[in-house]
Amino acid sequence: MFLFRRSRSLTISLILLSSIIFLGLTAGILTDKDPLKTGYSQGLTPPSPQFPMGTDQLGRDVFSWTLYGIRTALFVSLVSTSLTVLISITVGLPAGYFGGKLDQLLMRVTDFFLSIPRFILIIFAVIIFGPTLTNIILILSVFSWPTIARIVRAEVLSIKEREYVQAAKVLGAGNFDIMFNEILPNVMPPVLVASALQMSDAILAEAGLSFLGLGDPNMASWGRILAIARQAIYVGGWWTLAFPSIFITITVLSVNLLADGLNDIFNPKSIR
Amino acid sequence: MQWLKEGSVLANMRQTIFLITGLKKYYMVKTGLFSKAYIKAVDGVNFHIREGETYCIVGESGSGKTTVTKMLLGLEQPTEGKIEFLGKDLAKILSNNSSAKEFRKNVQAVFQDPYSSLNPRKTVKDILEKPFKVHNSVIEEKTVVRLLEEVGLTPAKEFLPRYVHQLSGGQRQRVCIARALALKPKVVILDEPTAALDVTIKAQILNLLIDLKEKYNLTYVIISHELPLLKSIADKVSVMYAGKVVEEGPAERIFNSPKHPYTLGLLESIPPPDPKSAKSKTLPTLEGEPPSPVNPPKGCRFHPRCPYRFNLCDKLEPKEIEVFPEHRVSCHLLDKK
Amino acid sequence: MAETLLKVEDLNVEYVLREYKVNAVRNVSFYINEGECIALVGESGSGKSTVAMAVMGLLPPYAKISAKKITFDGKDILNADERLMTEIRGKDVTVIFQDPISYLNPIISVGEQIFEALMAHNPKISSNEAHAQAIELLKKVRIADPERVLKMYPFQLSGGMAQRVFIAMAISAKPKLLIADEPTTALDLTIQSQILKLLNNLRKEYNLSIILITHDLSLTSYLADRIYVMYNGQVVEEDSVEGIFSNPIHPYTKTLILSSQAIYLGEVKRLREKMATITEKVENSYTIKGCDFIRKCSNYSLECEKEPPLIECNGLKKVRCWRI
Ligand SMILES: Nc1ncnc2c1ncn2[C@@H]1O[C@H](COP(=O)(O)OP(=O)(O)OP(=O)(O)O)[C@@H](O)[C@H]1O
Ligand SMILES: Nc1ncnc2c1ncn2[C@@H]1O[C@H](COP(=O)(O)OP(=O)(O)O)[C@@H](O)[C@H]1O
Ligand code: SF4
Ligand code: SF4
Ligand SMILES: [Mg+2]
Ligand SMILES: [Mg+2]
Repeated sequence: MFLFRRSRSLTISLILLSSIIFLGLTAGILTDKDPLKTGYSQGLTPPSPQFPMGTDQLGRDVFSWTLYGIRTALFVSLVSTSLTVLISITVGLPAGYFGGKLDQLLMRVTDFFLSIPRFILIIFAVIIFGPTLTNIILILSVFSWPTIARIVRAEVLSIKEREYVQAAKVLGAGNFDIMFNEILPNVMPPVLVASALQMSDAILAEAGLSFLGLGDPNMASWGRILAIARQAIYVGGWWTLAFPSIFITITVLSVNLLADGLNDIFNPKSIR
Repeated sequence: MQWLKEGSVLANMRQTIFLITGLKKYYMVKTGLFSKAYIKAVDGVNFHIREGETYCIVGESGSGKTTVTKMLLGLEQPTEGKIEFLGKDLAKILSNNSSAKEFRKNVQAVFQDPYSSLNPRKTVKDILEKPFKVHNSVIEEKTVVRLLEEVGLTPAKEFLPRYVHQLSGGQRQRVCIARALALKPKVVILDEPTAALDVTIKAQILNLLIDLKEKYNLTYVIISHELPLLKSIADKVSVMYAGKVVEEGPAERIFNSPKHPYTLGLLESIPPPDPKSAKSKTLPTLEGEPPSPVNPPKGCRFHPRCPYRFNLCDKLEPKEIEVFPEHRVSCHLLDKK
Repeated sequence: MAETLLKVEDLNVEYVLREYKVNAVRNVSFYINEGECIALVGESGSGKSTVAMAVMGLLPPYAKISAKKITFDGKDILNADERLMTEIRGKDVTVIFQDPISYLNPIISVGEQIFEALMAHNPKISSNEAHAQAIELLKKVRIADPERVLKMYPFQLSGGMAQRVFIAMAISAKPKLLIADEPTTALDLTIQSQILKLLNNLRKEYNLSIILITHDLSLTSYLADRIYVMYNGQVVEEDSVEGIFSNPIHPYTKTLILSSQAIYLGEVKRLREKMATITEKVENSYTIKGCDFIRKCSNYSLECEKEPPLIECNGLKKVRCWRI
């Protein structure tokens, strides 16, 4: 409660996110239709009690597609972001802490990743390795960690000079102990903020991939229905575009608000 | 202070804890794309620290005090010179895991800033349990409670779950002292232990340090720029100026018959808390600023500020002269030859 | 007798934060005459800086300020509009702080910053004139090599030099009142005495009034004429410097004096016996009723549970304690 009072963004984003997650989790109860199955209706059908969000050209139910799409979007973004954070810490923590050659090497690698356009690389990788859910998640994480790794490293660089880290050394604490028990907890706040932003990035990237036809064909993804909507819109099928877009927007917005909210809480200066 | 006469005999019999010879630390700084310069933070100092002694190092900001502490604690490698701990080379001690652990147990530290020397995400309990965890000893709540009581944080139970931001400056420094004492060390190195505290709290912390020392026969190395504070606690004082020791001796000698013009100036500029004293009306002042550590003045480093300088001072570096047993001064004025 | 320059009556400042309120200053009254130096002394958090900021009109917007009266040079500045305040602030009253470097703009040279200060008071000043005046000011604050310092950037200055530059800017408009908030706390002993001397010389030269804010009572004996001892947002004792040192009455003032004297004389060990009546007691979490010092005071009795007023004693002395 205390936290909510401190940040309006956090409150709003948590309300939005929990409703979205709720809808995603209860998709199986809210609709009895299989999102991937065609032929529920004869061609494009506008919203009606039977199809609350209408159907597409092939008679797929947009409502169940949108709900199941929540699962895909959140699953892909959550898992890939967690992986990203894991890799970032594995790279950034020792790089910042030990410095020297290791640091230089790790930073060269991140520089390399940062210097090439990420989305194009992701597209190539998906084409090469094939558009399965696992591949997409792995590829998203592998190409996203450099930004967060830099944040981790920069934080570690400043924190390792604090006197409490020196005090731990004087007590005889080992490097691992110091890195994980003394430094890591103090590095986490900015990393969490960055990873919330990373998550909204991942949602958009996954949607982008499926839009280009590079999503997992066995998953109902918002990107893919938007690709379908691109054709439907010419014959007046606005509902195929509108509902999934609204959901993407709200989800991305609420994840961004989450980042803001986390920032409010962690950064004492932003609380006056 | 009659004990002094026998004291020096006694002192010689006491075990040597730290023997530091010719210690130097230069930091390289880039001054341009291809040019570099050396900051001579510590430039050839000797200390002889004996068991049970309170050895104080004073000097102005930038004179190299903290750098000395860091080298004593093995947090920085000396550029040159040698540190011996109980007769063994410190570098060797630290290169071996088990002797390094033993050293850590015996030599603890309290840092200048109680605000940044405690991890903000840990409770007092976590912080005080850490030393035992690191050395794989059993932790009993009893022990931690005793530690807190030892440093005057009572009722201890009330402090255990607190975070750093829930403590006052003085309380934080007490926690730091408790942490340093946890492993029952022989030596505690304190870098400006009271600099960040209010006057009344300073006095309390000093009192605590005196008590603890008597109780556990600790050896203290205290680093400070607040000369008056040391009067209550010091046995030996070393005065540093621009990376060098200019005067060293028993505290009583340093405070009552200082020989180096810099020590004299330092003592003079302490404002007395008494408006009736003559000094508080005139407030004698040592003019000038400490020199740049990159290009220290030639000859005696103090000469640009020295009211007594003469033709030799900016040419020749003064040698160390023993003016009294254990009391050494580096100043040409005292060189009889 | 000299004219009263600043008079503050019953000043209250409350910081209203989202989670809680801090009553930083309560019923503080003081005055300062022309050419006089008063000191506000107290531990950190006792509200000294807040008093200074309130007088300057520089409190953050969430601070609620109220007072019976604040007059400067005969003008009411409690209800003054922003325009008058800006004028007074730039010209008649200035402040110097503990950490001058962080108040100087890091990317502008010292010279430029002094020129700006000069220009603010005299927009028509020519650049030659400004340069000459800047050099003059730096000489006033006893900077040895003013031409070189003008070209330097704040990060190249030592703490002592930065404080001198800051003082130079503060006196550039020939102010009547200088508020010095812990001006030497971050400085070394030898630099501290230089700065104190400098302040004293400026005071004589310009007939400057100085409010010296410090937690270290020993600084006041050189510079100050009168002292206000603050504790927890209130003035607990006020008197002339001699009166405070020779006849401290409030238990908190006594602790302050005994502590600084014990440190000065190197007798911290004997301090405990001397302070037998003013021991620090265990801090409990109950809320304070009555006298603020009650938790630390072993001289207290039942009456102390009512809040003591500032009681006038003989001479200048006033004390906020029931048992005087
Ligand atoms: N890691 C470093 N890199 C470069 N220069 C350094 C480093 N540490 C210290 N110095 C420099 O070495 C000199 C001595 O510094 P040190 O911290 O030992 O001084 P000190 O006497 O402890 O001062 P203070 O009273 O301000 O704590 C200073 O000029 C400082 O700027
Ligand atoms: N900007 C601020 N916002 C909230 N509280 C503040 C602020 N400045 C000071 N305080 C609080 O007001 C009280 C008095 O502070 P201050 O005037 O800075 O004291 P001093 O200068 O004597 O150390 C303290 O409890 C402090 O925490
Ligand atoms: S050697 Fe010369 S300059 Fe140095 S302290 Fe002695 S008299 Fe002064
Ligand atoms: S009023 Fe009572 S509690 Fe307060 S200072 Fe005086 S004696 Fe102590
Ligand atoms: Mg230091
Ligand atoms: Mg203050």
